[in-house]
Amino acid sequence: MNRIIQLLRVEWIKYRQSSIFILLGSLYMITLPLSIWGFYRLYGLTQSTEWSNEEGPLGMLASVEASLSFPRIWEYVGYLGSWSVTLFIGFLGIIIITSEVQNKTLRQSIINGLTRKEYFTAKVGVLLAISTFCTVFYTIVCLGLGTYFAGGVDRILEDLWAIPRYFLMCMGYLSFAFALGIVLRKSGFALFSYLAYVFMFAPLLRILTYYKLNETIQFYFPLNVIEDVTPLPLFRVFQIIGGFQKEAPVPLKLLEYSTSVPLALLYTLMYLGVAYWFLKKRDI
Amino acid sequence: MPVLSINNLSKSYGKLLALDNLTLDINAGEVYGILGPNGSGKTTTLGIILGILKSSSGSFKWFDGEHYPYHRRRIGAILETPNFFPYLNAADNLDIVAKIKNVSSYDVDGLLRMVNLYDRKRTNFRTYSLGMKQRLAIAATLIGDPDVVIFDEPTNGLDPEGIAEVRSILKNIADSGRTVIMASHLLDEVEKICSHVAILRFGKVLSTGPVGSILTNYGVMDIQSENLTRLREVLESLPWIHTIIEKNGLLECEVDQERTGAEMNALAFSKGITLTHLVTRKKRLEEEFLELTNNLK
Repeated sequence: MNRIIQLLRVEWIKYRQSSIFILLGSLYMITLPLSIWGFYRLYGLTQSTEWSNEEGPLGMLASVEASLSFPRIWEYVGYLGSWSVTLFIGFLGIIIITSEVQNKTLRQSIINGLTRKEYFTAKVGVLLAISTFCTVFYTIVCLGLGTYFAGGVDRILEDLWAIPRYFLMCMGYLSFAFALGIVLRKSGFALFSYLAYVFMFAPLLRILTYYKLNETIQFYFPLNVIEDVTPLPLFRVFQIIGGFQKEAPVPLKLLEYSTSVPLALLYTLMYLGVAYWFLKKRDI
Repeated sequence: MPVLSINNLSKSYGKLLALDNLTLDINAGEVYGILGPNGSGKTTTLGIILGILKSSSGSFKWFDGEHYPYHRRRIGAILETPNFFPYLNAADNLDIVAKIKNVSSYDVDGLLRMVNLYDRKRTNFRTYSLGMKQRLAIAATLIGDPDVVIFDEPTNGLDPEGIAEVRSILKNIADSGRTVIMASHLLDEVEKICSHVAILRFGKVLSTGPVGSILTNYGVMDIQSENLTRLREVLESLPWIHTIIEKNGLLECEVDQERTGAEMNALAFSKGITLTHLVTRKKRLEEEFLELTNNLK
């Protein structure tokens, strides 16, 4: 345990002055509230309606205030936060390894005496620390806004499972990015591949699989599973009312948390396993 | 007991065999030079024994296996280039090394003074010159008072002043009684610093042993006059000239190292020969290799 704390101290020295780390962390902290403000403005529905406090789909759509009140705020901000995490925190997952490959500090750490297992443990510690930081920030934002919009904290304790789910979403993206960084090694190539996969290949693969292979298998693809840990609650509404379904290239269906959470956990462990295998087996 | 035993180590990159059944023993207190031209397998050997490259076959053992897998904490090493976090200063970079090595206290100021970097303690690594980077790397190798220090081409790319500075520091380290392993393609460097040497070529060990027994102590003089035949006759009569080879109109002579150009010039003049060319130099590594290869044949 002492050794793990020692290794985390080493990581802290490395990253506390890293400008790219500070920049990406700041972008996350700026874009999360900014995206909520955008969501608020986009709706433009600042007045409560008679349905706004209903539990059903109409209630969810009726008022932005209802969406940003407890307990719905956990899901909405969780979904908005997942975009910031995908972009900025995902980049961090890549950079914490590729920058060390580029500066040859990974090889020097091993030369200086770290075992590959210790190096990996330290990096997983960093991923856990980043996820914790993001989740704490998410929780603070939700608590602040939720209290403001709800005008109280009566329902604050409802759906608190959203917090560990958010943490899992962060770990899912980070470990995917980290594994990609270890496998591809070059910052530019890994960042491009990450963006291309998340925004292009993953959706394309879903569509292709849906039409060419199987209708349901696409729901269980890694990134789809991780997305469904903090989904846009409106998708549930669309799923129920079905209006938007016909326009989408593939059916809009959200996995239940009882499915998406264990699967996301499994995929996260799988990414970390792949990263460890490459770190252990390859020349550095 | 050897500090490091290497047994039949091989490494292939696809079809290229970078190391071919390398076997070496390095004992405590030796200042061991691994000498060879670029591409001879020196860095590959160091990369494997330092845990960053995987060997294709063979094995190696540090400290008779005693501190495995934490043996590298007892070794200070620079491989190829000085590798530090560019946005951190010298003190922070050394602090990282100390924590990795599990060293709780060390004299950071003393180390930086030793390598003349104390004044730049709080300056970011990225602003350092190559010589300063190399000196910081040498300081880092000494954290935790390691049993073994390893340097890979420590003066590569340095200007003459930097080379002199780094060599002087290396000499002090070598004189401190630590085991030192140094890879170099510079015969002169190995001769000046090392007590033992292994000569590598095409991934194979050509020869190993004390420096004196492996590398010849002869110097070389390239001499020319208008009458080469007469010059040759005179040179052949001298007991301190060991070989004479005619090359491109010059006579290349292996001479006892203490003999000087002035001495040769005076001697030729006394015999009525005017020299038109006289250069004294150390034997080049390629010549040493060719000789060793011929001897091994």
